[in-house]
Amino acid sequence: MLSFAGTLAVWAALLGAAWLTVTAWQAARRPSFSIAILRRPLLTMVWAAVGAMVILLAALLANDFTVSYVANHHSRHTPFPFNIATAWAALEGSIVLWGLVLAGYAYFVWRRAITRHEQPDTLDWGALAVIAAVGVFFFGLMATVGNPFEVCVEASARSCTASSAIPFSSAVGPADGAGPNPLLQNHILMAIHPPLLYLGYVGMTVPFAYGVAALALRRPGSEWLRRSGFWTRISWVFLTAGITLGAWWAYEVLGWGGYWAWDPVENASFMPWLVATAFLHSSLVQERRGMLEAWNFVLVIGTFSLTILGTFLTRSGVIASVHSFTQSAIGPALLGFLVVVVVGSFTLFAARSQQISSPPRLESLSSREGSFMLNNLLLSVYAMVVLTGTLYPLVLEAFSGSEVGVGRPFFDRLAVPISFALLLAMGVGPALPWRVARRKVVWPRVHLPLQVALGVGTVVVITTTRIGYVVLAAVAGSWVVAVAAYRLWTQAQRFAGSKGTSAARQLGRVIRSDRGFWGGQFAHAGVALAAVAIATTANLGQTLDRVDLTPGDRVEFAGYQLVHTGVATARTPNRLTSSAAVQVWKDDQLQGWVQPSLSQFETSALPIATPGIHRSFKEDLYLSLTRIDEQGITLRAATAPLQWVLWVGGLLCAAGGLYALMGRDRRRSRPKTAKTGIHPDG
Amino acid sequence: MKNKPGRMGIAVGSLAVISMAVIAAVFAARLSNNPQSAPSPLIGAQSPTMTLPLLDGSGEVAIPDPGAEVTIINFFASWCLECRVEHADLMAVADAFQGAGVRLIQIAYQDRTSDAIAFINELGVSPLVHYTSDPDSRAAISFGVFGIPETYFIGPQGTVTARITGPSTALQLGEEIDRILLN
Amino acid sequence: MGDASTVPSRLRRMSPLVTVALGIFIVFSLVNADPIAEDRSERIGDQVRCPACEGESIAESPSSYAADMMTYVRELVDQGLSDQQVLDRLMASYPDSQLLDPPLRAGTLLLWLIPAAVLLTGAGLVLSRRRRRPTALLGDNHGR
Repeated sequence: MLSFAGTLAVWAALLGAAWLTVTAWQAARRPSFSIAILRRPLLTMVWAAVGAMVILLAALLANDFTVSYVANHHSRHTPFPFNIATAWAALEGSIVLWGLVLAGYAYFVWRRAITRHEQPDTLDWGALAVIAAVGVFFFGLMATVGNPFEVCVEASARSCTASSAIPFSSAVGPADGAGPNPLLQNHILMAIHPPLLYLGYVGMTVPFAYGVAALALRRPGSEWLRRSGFWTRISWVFLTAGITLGAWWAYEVLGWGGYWAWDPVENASFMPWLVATAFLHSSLVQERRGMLEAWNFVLVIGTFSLTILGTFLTRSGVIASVHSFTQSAIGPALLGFLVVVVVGSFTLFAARSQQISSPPRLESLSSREGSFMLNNLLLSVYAMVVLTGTLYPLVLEAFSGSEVGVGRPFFDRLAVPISFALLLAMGVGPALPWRVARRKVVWPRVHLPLQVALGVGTVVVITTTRIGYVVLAAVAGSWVVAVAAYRLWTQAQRFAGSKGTSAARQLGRVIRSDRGFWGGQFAHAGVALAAVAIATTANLGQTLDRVDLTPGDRVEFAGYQLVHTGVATARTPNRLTSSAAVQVWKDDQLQGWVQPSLSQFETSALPIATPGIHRSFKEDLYLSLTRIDEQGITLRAATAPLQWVLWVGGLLCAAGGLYALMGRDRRRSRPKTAKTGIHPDG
Repeated sequence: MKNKPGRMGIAVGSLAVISMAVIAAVFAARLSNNPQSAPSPLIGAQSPTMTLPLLDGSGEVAIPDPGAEVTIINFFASWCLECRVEHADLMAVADAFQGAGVRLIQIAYQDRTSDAIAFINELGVSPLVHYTSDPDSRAAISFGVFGIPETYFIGPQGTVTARITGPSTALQLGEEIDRILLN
Repeated sequence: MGDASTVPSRLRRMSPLVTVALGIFIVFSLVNADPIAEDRSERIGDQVRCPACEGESIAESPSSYAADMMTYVRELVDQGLSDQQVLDRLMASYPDSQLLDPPLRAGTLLLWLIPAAVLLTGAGLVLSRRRRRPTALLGDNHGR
């Protein structure tokens, strides 16, 4: 029954998407076309996509094991909210989520186009057509090779061994399913971070759609950037938050104490983020100075292509990794789509490139746009490093048959210097005016921050460490923050001077006066914080490798006394969890209890380790088990100084993006006036 | 010249298309690959030598077995589901080829001695097979084990001739033994 | 600009000296930086992909097989073997793909050349976008 309804919804969404592609394209080509006709196909697609997700959730909540997806990925005992998250935790379901998010974006692009102060434009309808065309692919995938609503026609004890796409097939189902991968039902962040990543990933379709529409409609220029800027930013915010929470999840769940492994899945989300970040900056250069027109097309196509590449890498099983999914026909389909996207859009770009206007030349490298170009160069090289490192093993193996592994040592060696260069650029860039930076203007803006940064570095050297990376990160990070803070202060003073009040009261007004700029500065501060935390956790942490403890044992580690007091076992319907109670003492004060555990899931052979973390301002104390039995436990311990700063930094980065986004809308609704003297661009 | 975006656009476009074609071809090749067969540098090389303690604590056994024409090394564990599948076949082959000088040594991988003993007691113990433990996983590291079950064949000159990853069948085992013995 | 006028002028003149002094101190401490607290075994372990897990090095992985491999690494390091000798012994039966740090060979050269090529091309493009030094008026503006 639910199989039938689900399949129906998928086909309706496919139909709606195809219909919308055609009508939106007609509307884009003929401005006189009545746009009212877009409403019906759009709403068909949107409601059908919502319906497909609702039906999938209903099947999960109703334990309908005749639906093959439910039989293979759900179990009666999967607790809330993981039973909900199962809807997108596996391959077919993740595509349903993809379709839903895409339909949602299509709806809001349409709403924004018809409710905005400016007139809707053929660019909007062209973009809608491209979004719908992407939708045709994904809903098509659901309707054919990736249908989660297939009827289970042959079941074994805990899974569905054969399924049929024909909804009227006589359905059988196992009494209970195997449930989701144990790693995926261990932490609340697992239910949150994938949808966030999807919102970011899929959102990149929108600027891409505007870019392609601009090319196809022969309307290069900056209008497409203005209309898609909102969507680029909001997708970037989601992507940033998703990557941060994903790293946090890895830290809280995977139990090795790290948060980033240069795993292909992580790389798959990081590459579009890098290119999208470059695009955010270079689109500003075009909007302000009319430069980099062609480059912005390359970046927006690149970002979208990388999201599809990432989806392909993670969903086809082509690279085995922690999160990988098993092989299926979806892999080749995604690959084919990737080829169509890249070849199609770059061919279009090449065909239209005569119409892309000749850019004005850079007046000086030391200018705001010069620093943006430097930033673009660094981010592109960064993305290229990650791309090369991720794909190289595959390429080499396919061509020469010889295998090679590319892992952390390679990525770290290149990523660390690039990241430091980016930090320095981030410190200089915002202090530079557009066009040409005069030393008289720039030096006062950066001198005091430079002193602050060097002062911070000095304090770090004297009080904490002389490890080069940490000192350098402290100097570079505080330099980025200090440049922005000092700029904020001097602006506030100027505001105060004209008003006759104190500068401190004007800080809020300054920030509100240019949300785009100051949101960007918050994001920079977030990156700076993250960089400091990455340096401290990587270089100042201590580790204790595997000690065997029996209840009552005490071990000294990094200034803590850890006392193992006992073992507790708890059985929940789907797992047996054995946790060790460990007291954390410091200076004869009990700081707290930590309970690292090992969970044995019914459906999985190997136990899953869940670390226990004792958090303090200074550092995290990270305890994990590798063994727990009648004789005692084997404990691993590590410290991660300032680990919390990384999460704060990542989320501040996303929040900064969100703030800038709010400014963008306000600025648009404001009538264009001459720039006042208080504008931070000097 | 750099000012002519037309030419540049075509350059960028064609570069992207070409690299795309290469990547697509590579992935297409990779997608059709069987991901199971990771090559082992051990095949054709001299077998690692070591002695391992028997599971019941009654002594030690040498690898490769000095008195055997063919030594078969099998890594198993009580927690490994696929190892249950192949257990009977392994036993049958050890029995059938005993006269031909074939010796089977089963090594418990990442397992407690008590659990491993319970496992073989449940599925069947053969007096012809040596069951050993693997302290500190030295044997598994020396043989380059990825995931069990894995089975290695050592020929008369102490050369590793083949490896089977995943559950082995009596047919596979017999064919490989024949190949070694007929050479 | 800004608050400069409120600062006593002698202090203002000293200010660049403070910057230079702090800068020299930082550069000096970076040159004489502490070596990163390095455990050779950990560093070797970082270069080996854990065979029993996916995408983690044996130094990172919590799995017990990785722990056994690390024990072996420590033992070999204690015997006084060089990094390469340790890797050779440990990985004798594992394919090269288990090494996470690709050794520089003909086959891996491209891995390093591609990012370098992108960097050089990009830098060339940015520089070629720059206008020839426009006028004498702007001559003093090439702040770094």
